[in-house]
Parts: sequence; C-alpha cells; structure tokens
Amino acid sequence: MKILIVEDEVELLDSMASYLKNEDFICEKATSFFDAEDKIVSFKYDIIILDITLPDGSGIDLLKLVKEQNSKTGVLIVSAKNSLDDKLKGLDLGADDYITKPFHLAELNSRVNSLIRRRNFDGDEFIEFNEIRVDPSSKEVTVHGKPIELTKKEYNLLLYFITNKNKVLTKESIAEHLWGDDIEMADSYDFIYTHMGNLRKKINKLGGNNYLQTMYGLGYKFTDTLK
Amino acid sequence: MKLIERTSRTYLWLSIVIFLISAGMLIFVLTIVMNNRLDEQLRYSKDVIAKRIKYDYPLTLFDEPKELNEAEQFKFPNDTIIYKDTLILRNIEGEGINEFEKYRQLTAYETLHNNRYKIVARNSLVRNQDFIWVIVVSSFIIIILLLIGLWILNTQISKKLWHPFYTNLNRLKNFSVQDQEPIKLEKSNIEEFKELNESIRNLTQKLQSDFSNLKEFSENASHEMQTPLAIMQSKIELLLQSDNINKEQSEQLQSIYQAGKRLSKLNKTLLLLAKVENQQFSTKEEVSFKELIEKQLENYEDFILNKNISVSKELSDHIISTNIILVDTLVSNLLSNAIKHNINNGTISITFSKNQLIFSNTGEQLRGDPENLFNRFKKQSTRKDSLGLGLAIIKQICDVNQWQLQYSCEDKLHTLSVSFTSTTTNQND
Repeated sequence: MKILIVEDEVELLDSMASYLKNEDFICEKATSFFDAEDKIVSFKYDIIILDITLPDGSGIDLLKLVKEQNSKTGVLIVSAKNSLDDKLKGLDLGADDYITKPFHLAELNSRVNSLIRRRNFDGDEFIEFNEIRVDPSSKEVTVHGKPIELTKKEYNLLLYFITNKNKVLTKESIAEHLWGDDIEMADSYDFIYTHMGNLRKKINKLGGNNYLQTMYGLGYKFTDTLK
Repeated sequence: MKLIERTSRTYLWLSIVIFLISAGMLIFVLTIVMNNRLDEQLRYSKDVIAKRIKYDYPLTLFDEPKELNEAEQFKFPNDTIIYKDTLILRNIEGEGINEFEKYRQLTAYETLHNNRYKIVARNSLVRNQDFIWVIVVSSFIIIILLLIGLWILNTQISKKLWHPFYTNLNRLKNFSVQDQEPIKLEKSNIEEFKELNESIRNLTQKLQSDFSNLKEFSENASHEMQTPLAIMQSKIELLLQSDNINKEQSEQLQSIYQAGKRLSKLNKTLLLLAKVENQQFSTKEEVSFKELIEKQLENYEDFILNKNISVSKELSDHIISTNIILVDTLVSNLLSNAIKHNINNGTISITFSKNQLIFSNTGEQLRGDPENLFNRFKKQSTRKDSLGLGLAIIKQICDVNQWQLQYSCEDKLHTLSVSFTSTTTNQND
C-alpha cells in the first residue's frame, strides 16, 4: 500500500508517518501544495491523507487533481476546521472520509484501514489475527472457524484493536472511537473495561488466546508478543 | 409621536396665535378707518345744516330745537367739534321693543346770524360693526380652510417624502451582519436622507466586514490551536508505543495527555458556542426529533445501564424544520445532562410533542442559584470531565431558534423543557 500524507506541520506529519509506517504501508510525505501536486502527478497512490489548509493552496484543489488523475485513489481529508461546509464540500468532491484535528493516531490508522477495505473489494476481504478472523462486510467474527456473537460495541472494539495491533491504545482514543468525540463522561472508561472483559471471555470460550494487555491504567494493547 | 404630528401641532398653535393677533389688529384698524370716514360724513352733514341755517333753508330735524342754556352758550368757544360714541334708546319698528343702539355723534357749536347754535349730528354704528364682524368671520373661515388644506397636503407630501425613510428603516430592521450582500437602500432626492443612507451603508459595511473578520479570526485561532494540540497528542501517543517506559513515567504522560485532551475539548466547545451564537448554522431541513432522540439513547445506552436508570419516553412523530446539527447537539447535551446528574436507579422521562421537548430526571438537590444554571463555566460537580458548558450550549441553541428554555425542580425531579411555540410569539422581542 502506498500512502501520501500531505500536511504542512512537519511534526504532525512525522508522527502520522511513523505510526502508519509500522503497518504494511509505504508512506511518502509532502509539506506543501506545490510538493504534493508534484507527487500526485508523478506517482500513483492507494491512499492520500490530505490537509485542507496548506500555506500555498487549498487541499480542495488537490482533491480535484487527485480525482482527475486516478479516481481509484482513496482520499482522507484532515482538517482543523470542524466546519460542515468544508466537510460537505470535500465529500461532494469525492473525498472518502473526513477527520478533524486533533485526532488519535490509532483512529487515523483505523480510518485508513477501513478506507482500504472499502476500496479493494477484489482483494483480501478478511481481517485476520492468528485464530481470530473478522469479515467486515457481514460483520461476522470467527475464532478457530467457529462464529461468536458480539454486540455492536464489542465488534467495533475488536476491529479497532486488530487494526491497531501491537500498539498502545489510550482509553480516550477507545472511548472516542466507540461513542464519538462528544462524549464527556468519565464513566466511559469503566465501560471499556466491561466490554473488554466480555470480549475476552467470548474469545476464550472458543479456545482463543488472551491478547489484551493493560498498560498501567493508561490504555490497552492487543498483541501476541509477550512483554 | 411622529415627526409629522409634532410639526403639524406646532403649525396649528402658531396659526391660532397669529390669527388671534391679526384678528385683533384687523378690528382695531378697521374701526379707526371706519370712524374716520363716519366723522367726515358727520362733518359734511354739520356743514350742510350750518349752511341751511345761514341761508334760512328749511331743515328736517329729528329732535325739536331747544334754546341753549347759559352754560352751554359760553362753555365752548366757536367752531368747537366734539366726536363721541353714544348709546341711544331706539324703538325698533313693528316689534315695540326699545333697544340701545350705538351711534357716532358729532356736536358742534357755531355762531350764525349772531346766534349761537349747537348742532348735533349722529349716524348709526351698527352697520359698521356688522361689516367688521363679517370681515373677521370670513377671514377666520379662510384661515381654517387654509389650515385644513395645508394639513392634507402635508400628510400626503410627507407620506411620499418619508416613504424611502420607512422602507429603509424596515430593511435595516431585517438586516443581519451575516448577510453576504451589502444592504440595499431606497434612493431619495432629499439631502438629509441621502446622507443618512450613506452613513447606514458605511456602518453596515463596516459591521459586515468586522463580523467576517471576527469569524475568520475565531476559525483561524481554533485552527492554530488545534494543530499544536494535535502535535502534542500524536507525540505522546507515539511515545507510549516505546517499550521502555516505567509506571511513573507512564502516569505522568497520562496526565499531560489528559490535560491536552481537556484543552482541545474546551477549544472545540467554545468554538461551537461561538458558531451557534453567530448563527452560522442557518441551513434548515426537516428534522425528526424522534429519530434523533432514539439514536442518542442508543449511543448513551452504556451510561444509562451503568446507573440502572429507567427511561420512559413519549415521542411524537412531529417534524420540525430546523438545523439538524444544532438539534442533534441539543438532544445529546440534554440527555448527557440528564444522565450525568442522575442518581443510581433513577429515572429519565423524555416527552416530545408538537410544542414541547421535555427532559426530566431524578437527581440530587440543586446547590446554588438556578438563575446561574445556564451561565458558562458554572458547574455543580467538581468532576474533571465536566466543562460546565453543556447547559450554556443548550441555552444558546434555544436562543438562536427562539425557543424557550425553562428549568424547574420539584421533589428532586429536575425538568428542562424547551417550548417551540414561542417561535411566533416572541419574534418581536
């Protein structure tokens, strides 16, 4: 997978690239409109992460250019402006998703993965992690080939963990992923714990391993490598 | 009082005063002129009488001639003429009534044929007085007619003259700083109105540009703030991935991370408040409150179950044309408020009808003044996750929609109700 990240804040760009690089992604960076334009015209990317506000031009114009070049490229818009106008305009012009700053890197990764799944229907449809297998189109999960019943929240939680495997996920990032960023209730962290307990039990019951690790009350990690 | 009424009234009073003064002057001047004329006639009559006596012509006399007494003989020198107004009892013919009538009288002493004569001639003043009254009354009528005519003319002309003024006033009333277009004013040939229009145009243009600058500023400020926050957040998240952090470091990182999150949430919420305040959510569509409420209930399901709250709802299918983002925020805030301040095993009841949306929930007694409830950063709890902006947002959303928000508390049951009916009645407020 080839990804182009267009973002004028170098620090943020580096963070995004280094988080995504650990996956199976090749990340290229562009810090200006000019730079990005050059890259979009010269190379082919599967996904472009696009900041709307660039110092020397608008990301909207780049979006138009991408769609002219190769309509198969998935575009994820990143903007600090949580204004609906921008959002609608972006989606109208063919952007696939929209994320507002500040965002969790895990959330960005999850969005990129979901975008890839939607783009490549012909490719591998399943998301697999050892004995766990998720079918995103039917939202079915199997452990050792046996299906398990998950609630909507548990399913979203599992998918979020698998797409961000081997990464520490903060409670805040999980809460926002499950309930949206309007939520401002401390209780939500307890629910994550409950949902996770249930998820673990259901997987264990069918002979699955426990991959969930707690990180000092800070967050959780879904991994098969032991500490 | 309207300007036209004010000026008309002034005109009226001034006309009355001027009329009274001029009527007095008219009576005075006319009396003098008429008396002079009468006196001339009387002098002429006296001369005729004197001549007739001189040449022994026969005389027609009204009174019998009398001998002059001693005193009268020598009291006045020769050729003395005295004028005076006198009242004389007169018998009005056919009616048998005696009535006093005003006369102008001339008394002259003359020596004719070596005899001393006193000649008295008089003429009635009644006709003269009638004449003066006719003149006064007719001038009064003329002035009244003139005033009426002027008043009609004035109102008609002013209606036409003030028309652009009132049209522009209305347009000004409907003016909103959010309008993209500059205000359109009706042209007028009147210098004052032209100047007024010019000033209004400048003022509104300034307002519009200031407003858009402010909007741009708050958007830019938020942008500028979100970016460093995003960097902070992402760097901490990356740092957390490294394997060699100990427990203490991780706790400190967590504090920084949470503070950053709070800051960014605060920034987002304040921006939302500013946007609602500036009425930047003006697009309207048909919104089903029922659907939104059900959706939010599902989203908050975990929180409701956690406190074992029982929810009862009575939702009408009624559809309201308004901004969906605002209503979604409103419902979400109302519901989260009802859950947050609820007690374990409490209740929430949600009622939505054509006119009202009511959220009531059980909860602890309110400490502090309910008046301050909707103010920003007023919070009951000392909880860290509460920004104290939820109710301020609810209030602001109701305000821009001209809905009425009311809070009441009875027997530990807190009720927030939003009335939609005020949309029509409160529009002039």
